[in-house]
Amino acid sequence: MTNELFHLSVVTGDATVLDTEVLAVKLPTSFGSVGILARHAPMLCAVSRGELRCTLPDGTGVRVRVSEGVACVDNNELTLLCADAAVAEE
Amino acid sequence: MANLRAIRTRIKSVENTRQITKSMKMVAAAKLRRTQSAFSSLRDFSGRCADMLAKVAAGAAPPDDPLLRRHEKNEKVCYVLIVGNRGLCGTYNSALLRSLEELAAAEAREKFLVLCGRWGRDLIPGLGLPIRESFEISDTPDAAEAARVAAFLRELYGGGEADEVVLVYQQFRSVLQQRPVSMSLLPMTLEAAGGEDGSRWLFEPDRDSLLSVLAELALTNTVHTALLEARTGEHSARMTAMTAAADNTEELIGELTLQLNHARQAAITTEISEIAGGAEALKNKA
Repeated sequence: MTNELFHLSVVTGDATVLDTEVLAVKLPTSFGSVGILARHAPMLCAVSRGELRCTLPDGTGVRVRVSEGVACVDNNELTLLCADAAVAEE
Repeated sequence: MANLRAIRTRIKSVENTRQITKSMKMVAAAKLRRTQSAFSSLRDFSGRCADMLAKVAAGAAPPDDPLLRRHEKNEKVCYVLIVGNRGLCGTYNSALLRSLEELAAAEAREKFLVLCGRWGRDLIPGLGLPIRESFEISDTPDAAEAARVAAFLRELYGGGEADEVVLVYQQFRSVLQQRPVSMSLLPMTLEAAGGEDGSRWLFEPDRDSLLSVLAELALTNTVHTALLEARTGEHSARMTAMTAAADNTEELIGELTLQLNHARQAAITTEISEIAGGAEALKNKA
């Protein structure tokens, strides 16, 4: 795994739930879990209801419960739009 | 003296009204701040959603999605009327109803209403448009409320019960100005991103599935934007109306105080002349 960072934003209609630099992200999709690292090719991906996991620069993990939505990866930036999202308590 | 007492009672009553209007103005101002802050969060979502939709739409034939498909027969139109939750907000609600009446009069197709908001439940049936459904919308509508309305409209359009869905609400232009607007919501129209041909993008699992999720998000987002905009307008209209009412009470209190002073002065003058007259009579008697 590279140590390169990229930006993650999880946005709902009510608020921006997460807006941070991350090392890696795992997205829940209908065809399984999709891992995203820095310099990923431009992609639009349908996300299903489930748990998004991301690794912060200090190595800690954050879990975010998300509803159905769409993730867009472009220019080292991952944006997830969904109807509902909440950072899960550890 | 009876006149004086009546004026004093009137001043007291106008002062109470002033207190109420000032409180209502402050409540409306607080609610306005809340909706404006929610509105700015939503704007970020709207921008990103439109951007993604444009990327999916770029460089390919429009995918066949129920929310984008135009019905062959175009006979029924559904007006989604977003009224306020309460009155005392100037012409906010009545101007909206007038605009709906004009819109409906110019429409030859069969039409019906979906109501969002509490105001005018006894007035709106008088328009002669059947009400299919009513939704309670809070003073700061959130995404869940918008999703409820959007899901109903999606079913309505998808089930062929409406061939066009039109939002009718007061667009927020500034705190002092709102404008009744009508906006076609369904079928949705796609705008492709300029300069994009879609070839550099990976679509997972495919464009059609992405488009269907994005179209639902965009539909909810448009409804949410309209609800928030309408509520922002309602709170600002109420704030403006209550400011004017509070100013009027100040003016009225000024006028009444003047009347009170006149009456008091007249009473004193009468009393003095009575005393002087009495003293004069006593002197003459002596």
